[in-house]
Amino acid sequence: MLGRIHDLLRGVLRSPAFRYLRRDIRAKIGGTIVLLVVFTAIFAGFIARHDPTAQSKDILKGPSWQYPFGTDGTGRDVFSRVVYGTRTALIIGTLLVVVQTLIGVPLGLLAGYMGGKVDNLIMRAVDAVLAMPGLIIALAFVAIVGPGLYNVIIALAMTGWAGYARLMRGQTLAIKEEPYIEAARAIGEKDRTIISRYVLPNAISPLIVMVTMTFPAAILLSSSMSYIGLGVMPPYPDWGYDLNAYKQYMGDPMPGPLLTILPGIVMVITIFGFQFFGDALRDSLDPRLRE
Amino acid sequence: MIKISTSRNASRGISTPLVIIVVLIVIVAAYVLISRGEGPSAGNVLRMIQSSDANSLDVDKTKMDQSMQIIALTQDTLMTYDWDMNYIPLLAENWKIGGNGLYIDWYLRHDVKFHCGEPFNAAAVVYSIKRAKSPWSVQSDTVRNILDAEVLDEYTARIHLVQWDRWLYDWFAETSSSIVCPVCGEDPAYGVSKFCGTGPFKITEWVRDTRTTLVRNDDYTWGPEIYQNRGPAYLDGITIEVDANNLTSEEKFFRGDVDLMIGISPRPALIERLQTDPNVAENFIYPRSSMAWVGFYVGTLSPEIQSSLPSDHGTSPLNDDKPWIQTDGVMTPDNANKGLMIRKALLYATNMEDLLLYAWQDLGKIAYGPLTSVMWGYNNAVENMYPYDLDMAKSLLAQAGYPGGSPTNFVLHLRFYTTSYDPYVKEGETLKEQWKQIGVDLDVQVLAFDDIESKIAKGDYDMVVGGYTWPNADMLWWYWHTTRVPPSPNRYWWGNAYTDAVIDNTFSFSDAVAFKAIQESQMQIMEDACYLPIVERPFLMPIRVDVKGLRVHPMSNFMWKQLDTYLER
Amino acid sequence: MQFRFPGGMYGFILKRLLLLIPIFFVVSIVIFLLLPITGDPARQVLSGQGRQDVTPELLENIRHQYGFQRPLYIQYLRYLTGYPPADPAQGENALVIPKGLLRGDLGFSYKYQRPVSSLMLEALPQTLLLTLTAFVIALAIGLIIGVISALRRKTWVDYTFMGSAIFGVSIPFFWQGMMMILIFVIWLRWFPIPTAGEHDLMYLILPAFTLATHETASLARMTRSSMLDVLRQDYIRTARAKGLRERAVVYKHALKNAFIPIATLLFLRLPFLFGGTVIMEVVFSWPGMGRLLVSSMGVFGSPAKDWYVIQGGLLMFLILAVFANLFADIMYAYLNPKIRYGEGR
Repeated sequence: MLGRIHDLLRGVLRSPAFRYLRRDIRAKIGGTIVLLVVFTAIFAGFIARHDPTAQSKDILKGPSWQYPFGTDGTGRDVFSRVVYGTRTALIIGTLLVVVQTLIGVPLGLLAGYMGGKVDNLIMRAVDAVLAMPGLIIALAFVAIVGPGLYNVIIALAMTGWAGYARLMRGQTLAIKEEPYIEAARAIGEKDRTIISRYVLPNAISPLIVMVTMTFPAAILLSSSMSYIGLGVMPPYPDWGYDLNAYKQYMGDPMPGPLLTILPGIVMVITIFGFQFFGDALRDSLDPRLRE
Repeated sequence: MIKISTSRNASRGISTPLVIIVVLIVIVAAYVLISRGEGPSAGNVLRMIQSSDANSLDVDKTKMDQSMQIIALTQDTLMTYDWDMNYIPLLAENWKIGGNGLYIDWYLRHDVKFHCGEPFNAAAVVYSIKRAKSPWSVQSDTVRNILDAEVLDEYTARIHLVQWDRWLYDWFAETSSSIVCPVCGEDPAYGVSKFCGTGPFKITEWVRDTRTTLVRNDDYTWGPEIYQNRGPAYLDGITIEVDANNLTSEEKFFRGDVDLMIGISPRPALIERLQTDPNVAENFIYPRSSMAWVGFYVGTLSPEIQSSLPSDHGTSPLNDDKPWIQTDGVMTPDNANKGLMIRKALLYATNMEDLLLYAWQDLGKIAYGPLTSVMWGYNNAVENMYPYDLDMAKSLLAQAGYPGGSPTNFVLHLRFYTTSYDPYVKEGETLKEQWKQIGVDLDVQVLAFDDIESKIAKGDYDMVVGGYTWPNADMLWWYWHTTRVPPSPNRYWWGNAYTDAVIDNTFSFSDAVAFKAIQESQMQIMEDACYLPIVERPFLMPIRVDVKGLRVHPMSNFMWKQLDTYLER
Repeated sequence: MQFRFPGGMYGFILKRLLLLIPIFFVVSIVIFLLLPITGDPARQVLSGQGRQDVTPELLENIRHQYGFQRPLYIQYLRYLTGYPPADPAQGENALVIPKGLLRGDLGFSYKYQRPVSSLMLEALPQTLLLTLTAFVIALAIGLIIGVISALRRKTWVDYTFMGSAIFGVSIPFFWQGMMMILIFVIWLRWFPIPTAGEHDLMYLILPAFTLATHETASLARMTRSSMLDVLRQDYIRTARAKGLRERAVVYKHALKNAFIPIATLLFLRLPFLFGGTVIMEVVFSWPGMGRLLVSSMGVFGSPAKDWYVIQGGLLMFLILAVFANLFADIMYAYLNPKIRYGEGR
């Protein structure tokens, strides 16, 4: 077992993709940001100085050593809220990836492998879903069932799975023609085995890219929904919700505007990091660019 | 140059549209840099801005403040208040209460006309009363004690009452009782796109969530005596703009694009800016009979009511199934139960000053009872009932069966439901922090209003937020009588035959009896720890120094008839 | 007489247009079901009126007025066709019973006390104005940037453009909108304060450019990679080898062929852009369908839900998305010789 993992790791580290990544500056910068964000989310309790919900008498103070981003209208430390907000953001991204994978990947594999009527049916559904304005559907869904962390994830996954399905179908179609698939079939391997043993592992790499790219989209969309009021609600700390709460101070003298500027910058950098790294990752797995 | 034969498949002439687009961009950019944004022109029109709009301008379809302020400008009532809250004539020159409170005769002015040209007379009064009593009217409850109305002669109307109702008498001076035009009131679009009234201003346009435009009624000469100018108004018109984003609405005010702000959410930086800006008039905080509170699920309705409740209506640690007070009468503080101890503990554990500071920016007066301190009958004995005392709170909790509570040992978990209105959310968050100290864990949830209503209907809550703006102690019956079936407006599920009887006495024809009953009701409610009053919310209305002659009426939040107001630009 | 389905592009378009009919029905059913699923519609109506004194009698009254007491399939029939009409004997109010989607009636907004269709009629042009302006801006700037980047590959120009492009895609709409207002309206005072109901040019520029940012960045990246793909192709090398002038090579061959894949995908980006428009309308108080939709969903500042407006708004956006896809399909057919000259299959 350990040997298998060891082999896997060695395979990854020796792969041309990884060597590309090591030299690519996008991977370095983006990857650093991603690692930083993940680290912050996991160790939020240690990085944040204060409890994000703890009120104090220091209302609307500017940035200081004690409060790196200042305090808000009830004396809460904005920096701590932002730090815990990374947790919410990553949870949403991760759960969204999980749900979209669970729905989209099997459907895509099925469509690509089976072909014919099954493929037709599934792809029609995928096309229909991809044609829809995802954010608006998500908002309508939350308007019906109510706001909340899990409702947001379901709302976004409702249209998000289609991209995964289409990707997997494309990959499956391509891999289906490979000689080793034919060989496996000739030996008499069951379809199920072929899919899980041969198709899936070879289709993983673009899937990994898609997973990485889901995070910036998830943060963008969920924070927009929370900003409007149809997203994550207290007590979960959420960047979008906080920015909406702090926008009332934007016209005040400093440190008012900082309450929206600083958390916003953190949000942009987080999204940027995932996006940057995802770009590099995608290029590293693209055989054409390896010149 | 060698000519190349290009395939005709792909689109040709990419360059032309590109050039056009680039030229357009240059034009737009030039336009941007040359012209600057201008605000709406001033002139003799009062420009107001508020954060949310009215939902209807039909007095029988709404009770919102935003609606009332416009209706007060475009319609009139039979009588009104002077600056000291005494009744003075408006559309009625005189009136008489007869039959020991069973009817009121109104002697009307002869010189009043509606905006559409219809004359104002007793028939219009009778029509308005009938309309208010319609089953679809929001006022049908308020006027339940009106039996009917009849025309005695062209300018005399008699209104028969079921029984004397002192709050109903008050109603005739409140904007809700404004007289509706008998012709225009029948139009299905009345209050939406068709408007009429006898007031000093006429509505010319109402664009929802955007703007309302009013112009002067030049025929108006029947203004109340509290104004030096009895009509027509000095202002040419009034515009009311709606902007929910305080950043932009405040900017417009400070830049002079609007003259007056309503419905602002106070915060320290804004207050400071208002106080220091030379273009803003000094006075902008006014007292108001309005309160924010948190209601508990008490659930001690008398058995008769309880038996008619839905079977799935739940329980909460804050209540017991036994009524606290025996239905045959006597209030016995010794007859304590677990729920009462818990509620009292929570009240003792609340630091009112901190709550005011965090949730309401220290603006307003701490509230102690169900009524505001400006109401007739306010009992200031409620002010000392629950001082901040953590030890008392802990011992009460222990008596209730929850000993040893502390921030590290939660003994009780309660649910707090709020809407997304920021001060309410802050109330929840502040109480959560405060009640931690005695080991109570508050689960603060932000929900949509409908969801909260349905939870109250099922008794599936422990605490909810609320607020009211009410001129008088009528609200005791409105919110606390057991016939006011939950979920609205009695959202505490509290009361029994005894408390009902006391509240019924508040309607008495005798001032002395009513006064005593009002005082006792407040004590009953607070002794039973039914709810947590938080703050008496003041009315903030900043105006620019251009606006002169404006005086805010103590009746409520409205600037009212604006007859003396003029602009000096 | 034998019916032969027309071939070629017209056949393709015809088929797509015919497909609209079943799509329309499916969409209408889904949207109709929104209201009954979410609880007691009578209560929703009352809360939309801001009424707190809800009694069972009032609920019954409203229920009959709006016809909620009828079975679901009757309600759907009414929703679609307006038949059976309001029956005053049962207390049904003709004003609020739908006269049928097919006759253009989208229901009655209890918040605004107006037919939803009239609200939509006012709001739709504004939304289209904002979205299409942003779209055109993004198209113009994005394509140019993408082409320049591709031609100046791996130079500082390329790095700057593509670097900004990645940032452009990483900035959430609402935050960018807030910052734009802060900088350009509050601090610099270059633009008028966003006001509900104002839709002059000066009020359009900020939201349009903010909305366009994301799209510009995406298009720039897409154009660049598409351009690079084309420049790498064999026939470009051939053309170069023939000795043609660089300019001719680039403009005549590469550009056209690079734009083909972009053109086919172009309209498919509109649904995403509509989502952004909704946010922009909220941030900038732009009087379009998005703002209408959001304020009817029960959020900060307007907590009551207005169900017919939600249904109507959703319907309009879905229809817009369907048309955007139709245009994308037509574009694809036009540019794809197989369909254009083929047998219409």
